[in-house]
Amino acid sequence: MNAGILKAEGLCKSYKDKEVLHDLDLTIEPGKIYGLIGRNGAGKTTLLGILTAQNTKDSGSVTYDGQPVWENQKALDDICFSRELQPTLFSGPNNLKVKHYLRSAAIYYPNWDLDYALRLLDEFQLSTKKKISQLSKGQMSMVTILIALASRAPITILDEPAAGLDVVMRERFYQLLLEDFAQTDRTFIVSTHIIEEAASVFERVIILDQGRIVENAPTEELIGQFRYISGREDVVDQACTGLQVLSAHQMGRHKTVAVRGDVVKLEAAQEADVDISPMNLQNVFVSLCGHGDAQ
Amino acid sequence: MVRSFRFLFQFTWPNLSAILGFAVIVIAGCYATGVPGDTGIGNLFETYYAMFPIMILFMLYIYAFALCTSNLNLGLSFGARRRDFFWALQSIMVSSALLCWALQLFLAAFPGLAGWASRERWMLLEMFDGRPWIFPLTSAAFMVLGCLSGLLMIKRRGLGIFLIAVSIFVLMAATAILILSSETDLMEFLLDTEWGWLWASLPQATAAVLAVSAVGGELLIWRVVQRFVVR
Amino acid sequence: MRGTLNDRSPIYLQIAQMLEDDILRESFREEEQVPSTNELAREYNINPATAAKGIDLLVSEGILYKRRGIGMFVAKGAGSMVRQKRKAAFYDGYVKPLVKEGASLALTGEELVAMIQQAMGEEKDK
Repeated sequence: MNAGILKAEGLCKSYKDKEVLHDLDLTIEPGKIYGLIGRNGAGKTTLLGILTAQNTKDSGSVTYDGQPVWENQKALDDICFSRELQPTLFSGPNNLKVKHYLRSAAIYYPNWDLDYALRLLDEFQLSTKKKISQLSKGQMSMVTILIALASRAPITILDEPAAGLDVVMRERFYQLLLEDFAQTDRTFIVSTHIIEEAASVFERVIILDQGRIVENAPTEELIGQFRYISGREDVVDQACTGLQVLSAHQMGRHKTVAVRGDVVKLEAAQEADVDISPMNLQNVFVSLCGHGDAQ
Repeated sequence: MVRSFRFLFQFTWPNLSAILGFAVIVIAGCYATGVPGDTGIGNLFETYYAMFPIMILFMLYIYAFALCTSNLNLGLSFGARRRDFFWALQSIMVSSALLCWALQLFLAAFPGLAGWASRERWMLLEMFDGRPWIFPLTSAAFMVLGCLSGLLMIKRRGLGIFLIAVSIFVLMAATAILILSSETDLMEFLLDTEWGWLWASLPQATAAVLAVSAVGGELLIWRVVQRFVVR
Repeated sequence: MRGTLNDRSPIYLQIAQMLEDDILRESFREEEQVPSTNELAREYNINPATAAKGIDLLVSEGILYKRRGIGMFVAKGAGSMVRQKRKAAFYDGYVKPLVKEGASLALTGEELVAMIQQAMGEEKDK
């Protein structure tokens, strides 16, 4: 798959008076699976919309292979942005049947793989005769996933694909994604709330917090910088010298801290009489973004 | 642009077929109830036949409205270019207008060709006699306003409803004026009155209003399409 | 991720360790082919790049080698290489934590050694 490089530079976007994206830079390299994680309202869908020219930006640039994506046929042909289906858009006279929706996708996506689409329809047991507004939440997610995978677009973006799926279907989704990736080496960007399950699928993770990218790194490398250190408070404090402390909890003299640091400093901490345990991606995310503002 | 045309055509062809089918039903109904032979028979089918051009115009408005409510969002979400979508929309509207014009010409000529007893009411169908461009112009205006109403309905409901009200008023007024201006007796009477000059210029003024609505509407449609944010 | 992987250490290390265990247990013998990155990715529901990292680690240590166009194979002498590697890591991985734990329990050196000898005796009797 010859995907170009999708690059955003200095992206800014405001809605009314609220700045949703601040001076955002992002480069999507081809042939990787990216995870885009962030809290509700962090700006994930807005960012993805702007990257795909489906949303307008206030300033900055988004280019594909050096050319702006706006009204760019090549970029639009190579990119598939599969959003969550909104039932409100399919009400009344616009109540499409699934088969019309899929036929529309087949019209627009130049790389549409009909056989693959049919196999997925069969596996998901989706009836094409049903109207979209009659589908359950899970079935709507399955349609989203089907469109994304069967589009065979060099850059495929999925926005909350697993929402509405039960755990068994979610596992199947990750499997399908990895199978497709292994075969085609497409670029995937998956935006999700369900962080820990998906962590092992992402080669790189992008963390968006309040309109800024706070992390964009290989998943395991990022996680490797974080630890929980716990023990007696004075020993813990001593062990934390040279490390960035992100949060601390205390019960009596028992103290647990979440820290971040490089490999060397973390190793040094092991010498002390403390328990050190790794953090998973979800823990890392909450540590970085878990400031309790209301949404 | 071809892709967007194919996409929109999926929704258009059933509607156009419905118009054609309806015409067939009305003609058949006329034959079945003996309308062609006897000018005295005035029933539902006869009325529909007489009013058919008007009905076409209103159906075009409704179809354009329905076409534009969510298909822009859908097309763009599949990666359509905005300008491609705009021009595909234009192609759809032009083809629909041409098809309906052909239908209107056919319906106007048919009674004569098929030897139906002539009726005065059916002068309506020939209202565009001498000004054949009026029907396509009116169709275009109806469709453009219908499309714009549909687009705005999604963006801001209040504005959409307002535009629907304005469109219906403008379109009904224009239709009424065009019908009246083809009633030769009535026109002769009005032209003799004090405001005769007003009535004389009304058809051209109406045509101008329709043309301006169509052009203005198109510019607005272009603007809406360019700035649209996909949900 | 599936089954036997956990989040206590980087996934690629766990993949490498699992392959090493397989080599020690002779699930894969010398000159036999090991699963490809795609097979591993499929089995454990992980990104192929992660699986590749684990395999590359073993290749760089000479435990696996690549046959172009075919796949990854267990190198000659891999078994003893893995044992050697684990012996070197044994001190840091097992002995030091044992001593540290003993210290926190205030066990003396003699008590520790006695326990070790007892355990060795039980192992022999098996």
